[in-house]
Amino acid sequence: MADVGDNPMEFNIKEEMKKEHLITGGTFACSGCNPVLGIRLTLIALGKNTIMINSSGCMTLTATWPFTPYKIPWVHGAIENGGSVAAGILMGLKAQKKDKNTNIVVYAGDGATYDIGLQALSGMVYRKEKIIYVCYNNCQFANTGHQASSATEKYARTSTTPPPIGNPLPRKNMAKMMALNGADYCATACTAFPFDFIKKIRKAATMKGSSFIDLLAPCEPGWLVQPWETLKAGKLMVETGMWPLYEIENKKITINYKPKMLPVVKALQMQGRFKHLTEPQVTEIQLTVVKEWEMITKGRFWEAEEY
Amino acid sequence: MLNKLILEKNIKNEGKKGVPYATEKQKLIERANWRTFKPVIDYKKCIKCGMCWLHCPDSAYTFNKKGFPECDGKVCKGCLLCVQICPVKAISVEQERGKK
Amino acid sequence: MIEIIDGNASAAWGARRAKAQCVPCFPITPTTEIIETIAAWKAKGEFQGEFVQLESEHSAASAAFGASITGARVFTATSSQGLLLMHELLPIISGCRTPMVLTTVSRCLSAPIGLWPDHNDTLAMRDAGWIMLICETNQEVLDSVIMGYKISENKKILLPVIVNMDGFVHSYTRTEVDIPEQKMIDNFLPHPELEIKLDVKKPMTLGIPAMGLDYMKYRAQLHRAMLDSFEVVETVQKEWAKLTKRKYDFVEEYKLKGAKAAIVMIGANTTIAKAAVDMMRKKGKKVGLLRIRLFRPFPEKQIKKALEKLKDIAVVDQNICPGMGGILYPEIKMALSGCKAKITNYIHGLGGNFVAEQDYIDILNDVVKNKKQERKWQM
Repeated sequence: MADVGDNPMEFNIKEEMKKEHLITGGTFACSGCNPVLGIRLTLIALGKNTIMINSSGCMTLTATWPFTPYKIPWVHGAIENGGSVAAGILMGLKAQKKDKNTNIVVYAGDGATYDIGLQALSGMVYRKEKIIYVCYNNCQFANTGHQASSATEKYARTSTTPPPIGNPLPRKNMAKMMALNGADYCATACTAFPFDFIKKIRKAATMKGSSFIDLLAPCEPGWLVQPWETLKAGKLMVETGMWPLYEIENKKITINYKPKMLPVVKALQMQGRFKHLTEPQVTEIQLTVVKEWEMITKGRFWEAEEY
Repeated sequence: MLNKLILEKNIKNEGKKGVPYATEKQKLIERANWRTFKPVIDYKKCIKCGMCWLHCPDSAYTFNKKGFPECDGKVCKGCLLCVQICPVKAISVEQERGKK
Repeated sequence: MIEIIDGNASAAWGARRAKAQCVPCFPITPTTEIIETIAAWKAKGEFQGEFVQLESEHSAASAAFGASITGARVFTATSSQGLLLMHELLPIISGCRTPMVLTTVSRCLSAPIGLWPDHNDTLAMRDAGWIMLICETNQEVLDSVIMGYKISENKKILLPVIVNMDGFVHSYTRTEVDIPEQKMIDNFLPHPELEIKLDVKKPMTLGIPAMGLDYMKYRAQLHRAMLDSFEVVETVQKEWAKLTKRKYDFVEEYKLKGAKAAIVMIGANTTIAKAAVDMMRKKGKKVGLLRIRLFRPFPEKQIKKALEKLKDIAVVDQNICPGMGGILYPEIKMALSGCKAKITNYIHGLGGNFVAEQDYIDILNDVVKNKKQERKWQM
């Protein structure tokens, strides 16, 4: 691992503050966009020797010819092949003996990860390629106008799952899936917990094989929150227990943050996409979350049914 | 007239310029006109913790020689996440003036 | 050294002699033997490049794209449905101007599913912005793969190359092939460094979105590069002819001198058609053949020059565009616009339907009589 100081796990914000931004402003991202924040945090964690691969999505439009905000090599292929383009880049660097000291990061949206790009991701993890795959999860296909993806929560409103019912299906659990797929390191994170995320990215960079990080990144127009509320929305998702922060390192599970277990209605209330929920639906979500955490605290992590 | 008719043989092959790529040398695109509100930092309250820098999605924050954060008005989109995140409430909100 | 090998092995030898650094691949009949051969070499330590089998052709093409933008020399191969699955990536690869060689082993498209060759798969890629070389013999496959790298990596054009051969007819048929010496190829084919690539020392943003006029300018540049590649292909072929005494051109004229009727076609069946032409010539019939080797960019001028004096032309398509006819037919018609020649379309050999010399003799006899220029199917 390169460019992250002597003890990579130690994050010294004072030191990092002195360094230049590896992604500048001026992008097309919305005001208060958390996925862009995720890129920033990833680059703060990994430093200059990083190649970033993007899958089509909102973050593709951060660079638009002739402008680019990136001070690292960055490439966009297509939506469903983040994992395999990264595998190709690693292969190319290996063939030229340049792969040491270079972090290869895929930064793909939840649609590109959970849905269309699952095959490429699964193949990448299966082959244990030394690649960090970060999924910025805003729980929908945001770039095309907020359609439902398989990362969308149950009952959430999207443009293809309109109220009164909302999304009828619960979301997939990608981190668990990838852990069983053979990833060395899997974790969930949230932009509202940047230190936790940076630590996880750095840990991922020390792995010999693939790592997968599912980063919950609230989306202002998608979640129907104000730009300045995005971090709070993310924080509440964690504090209510709806988005557990954990890591799975070679099958060993660590719960990184014990939530305050606030009532889920607090998180649901502030997001416009849950405005249509009826009381029984809220109760159902609350029960699912409580049950899930009961299982987790009992050590039955794999059986816990997530909201 | 929006476009011109160009003979195909007059299109030049510009070698590597035909490859769609960009480098950071290009001029920064300003996003000041996206803003309705702007953050104003009270340096008396500021404790230089860097939380505004860490949480800013648009990389607007840099630090001056004294170690105080400064918000770059060219790229700040006025999301006000820094206002929310500041642990000592040193950042206040001001409406952009001179806007139509 | 001269060996008796099949088309798949010829392609693999091409990649080996060109010292391909990365071979991302996925198996499909009738391509599989190419990657099996390379895998076997890799296991024995005879092949130095990286070899990875991915989870689909789409991923193989993605990985080829990824490897190529780091500056590595990339080789991959596929067929039929696999090529169609790769299709999404092909315009991305050419649009990003990443050099590589892709060997396509023609096989008919599903459904109904078949294994035998026709050119519908490869010709479906004609708008992808790739240079396309369509081969007749195993030797030509090997030569074209090596020449392909030289063309592809030329700094002026930077375009990927498809080298096509026919499934089974090439891929599993052994013929004499002259495998050139490594030293000679090393001299012929130095690996130029890409100026625009992913490199942490010189950060660049690739695959960048461009809107409206910017987009159109890039497409114009791509088209321009394609047109400029005529010159590059010609120089490379001349250089190759000097080295190996094997001459290749954009089109191959066969006994066209003094001919009144001729067949125009592509692919492996040309060999059979040539035999038919020989047989008819012996009987005193003035017939000839034109094989198109460089299909994209389309050598309009050369085709016109070769065919303008003929009376009857049979465009024999081993492909079908349902609702339109043969794919080659309108292209030849366009090239010969303004000429008086009578051009007739024949469809044959779909799904590897077997053809023999007599079939081509029939076509050549028919093309003279067929006054209405009606399209005919040979089946």
